[in-house]
Amino acid sequence: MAFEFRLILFVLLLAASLALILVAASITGLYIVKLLIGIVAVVLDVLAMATRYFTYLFEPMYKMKRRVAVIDSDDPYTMSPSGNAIIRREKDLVYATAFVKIPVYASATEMEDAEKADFAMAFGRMLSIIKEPFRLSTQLYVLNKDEYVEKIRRRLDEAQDRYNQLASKESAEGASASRNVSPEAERIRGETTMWRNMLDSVSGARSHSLLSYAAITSAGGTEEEAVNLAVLKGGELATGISTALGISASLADRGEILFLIEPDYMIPIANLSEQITRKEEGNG
Amino acid sequence: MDTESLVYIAITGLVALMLIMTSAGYGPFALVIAVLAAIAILVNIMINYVDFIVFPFVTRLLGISFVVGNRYTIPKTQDSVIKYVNGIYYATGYLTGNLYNYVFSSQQEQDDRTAFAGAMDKWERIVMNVDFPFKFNVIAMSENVQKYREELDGQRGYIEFQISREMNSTNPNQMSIGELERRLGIIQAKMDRVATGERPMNVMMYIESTAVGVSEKEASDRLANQLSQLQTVFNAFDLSIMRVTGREVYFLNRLNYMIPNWAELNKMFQSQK
Repeated sequence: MAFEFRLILFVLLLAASLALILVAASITGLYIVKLLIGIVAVVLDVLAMATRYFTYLFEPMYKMKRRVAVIDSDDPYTMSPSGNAIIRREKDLVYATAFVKIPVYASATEMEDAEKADFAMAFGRMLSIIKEPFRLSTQLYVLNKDEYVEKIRRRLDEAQDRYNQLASKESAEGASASRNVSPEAERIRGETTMWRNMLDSVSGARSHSLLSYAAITSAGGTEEEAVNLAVLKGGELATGISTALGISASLADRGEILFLIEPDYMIPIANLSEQITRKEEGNG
Repeated sequence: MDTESLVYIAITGLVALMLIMTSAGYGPFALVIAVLAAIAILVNIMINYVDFIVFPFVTRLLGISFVVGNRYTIPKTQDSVIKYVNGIYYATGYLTGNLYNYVFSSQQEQDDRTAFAGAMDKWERIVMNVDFPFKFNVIAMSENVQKYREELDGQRGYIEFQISREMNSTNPNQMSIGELERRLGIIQAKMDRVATGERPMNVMMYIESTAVGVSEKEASDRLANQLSQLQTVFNAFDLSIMRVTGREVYFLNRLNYMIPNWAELNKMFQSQK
């Protein structure tokens, strides 16, 4: 459809350019007018060539305001009600894309050369298990350590509270007792130091994780049709991948899909604030 | 050079030539019109072959940016897609990374196995050396086996013809014969693999990275830095990796949400595939 539209536009622009050249040739004198007609013919000729790749920009550029051309102002996709595919509308068709998680925990460092080659060959074979085009991605992402850091921070606060309580209790009793800290207070102080060190080391460096997944798309007249087809193909792909690699691949759900396609899920906000604080400290 | 490109260039070129031929009738402006038409021919060729230079040049010159979705924009530099969420900018950029030629280019399967084994080590070293998010994407689709076999048959026949012509010449060049025999060996190895049940593939590969910043410029600068680091580490694969700019940035971003069929993919990514 888009291809046909592109061709029609190409022919129309070229015909207009040609017509203008003929009109200009038929005029005698009036050189300024002929020059203007010639310039328009040249522009139309270049525009005709531009239809080869840029047809999708013609309308947005025509409607452009303040040098911002809007190709699409809607969300790029919507999540299917079942949460196991994303839906994108393009012209008359609905496209649904399902995602398959590929949990691979093998590492080249633990393999012999023959095993590495076999594994890589199996990965290569995996690409040919399905006739439809699909995308296989491996993503290195920043781990969201927010919850973990929060847990350590809570433990540190608890340990500090216990130490303070014990220290104030001991200091109240301690007028008569010896000046030395009790073994219990010493132990809690050690625990506090341990949690503080752990907090520093965990929040100080970024942690990353590697994840592989596949995505496959189906087109349909309605959302239900497209989603059902995509989930079906996704299941087929998961089975093929599981067999080829000897793992247990499965369809990704709502939260996991967002994590695979949204850049803000790939880099958690907790790490960002950390990064910005560090940068400010560096500048300061 | 594909046929469609040639048709486009030829037809638009003919119209421009017609203008040049009639330029004598433009009186004092004859030269101006002839030069403009010649420039049009040149621009048309550039649009077809180096649109990733022409398009960003035009958008930068005119300061045009594109909104490609709610919260997503492509800046006038045409080299990234920027997402804005709660005061934070996420810039995503792309690199070409076609590893396909890295393998299946040897005459012996054993050579490919060695290359595969080495590739795993290289890949792990890359992952260990990178401390920012990135994705390596492969879009794959099985090719029609029969068609592929026929293509290989045709290529083999042509190379055999070239070899026999070279051998029958008065002064046969041993170096070119050797090169032709090497190419013949590669084609034969591919045919043997298809015969053993391996399916031929259409593959397109690209690398993607995302950087964050509190301003669009900061995110873009970080992204440029990340992509140049990725270019350096992926050099281990002996590939020419270049940053994707121009219209293909838009299409690569669209691949996040849907994967079109192979014919459409071919149309989208003709020059930087």
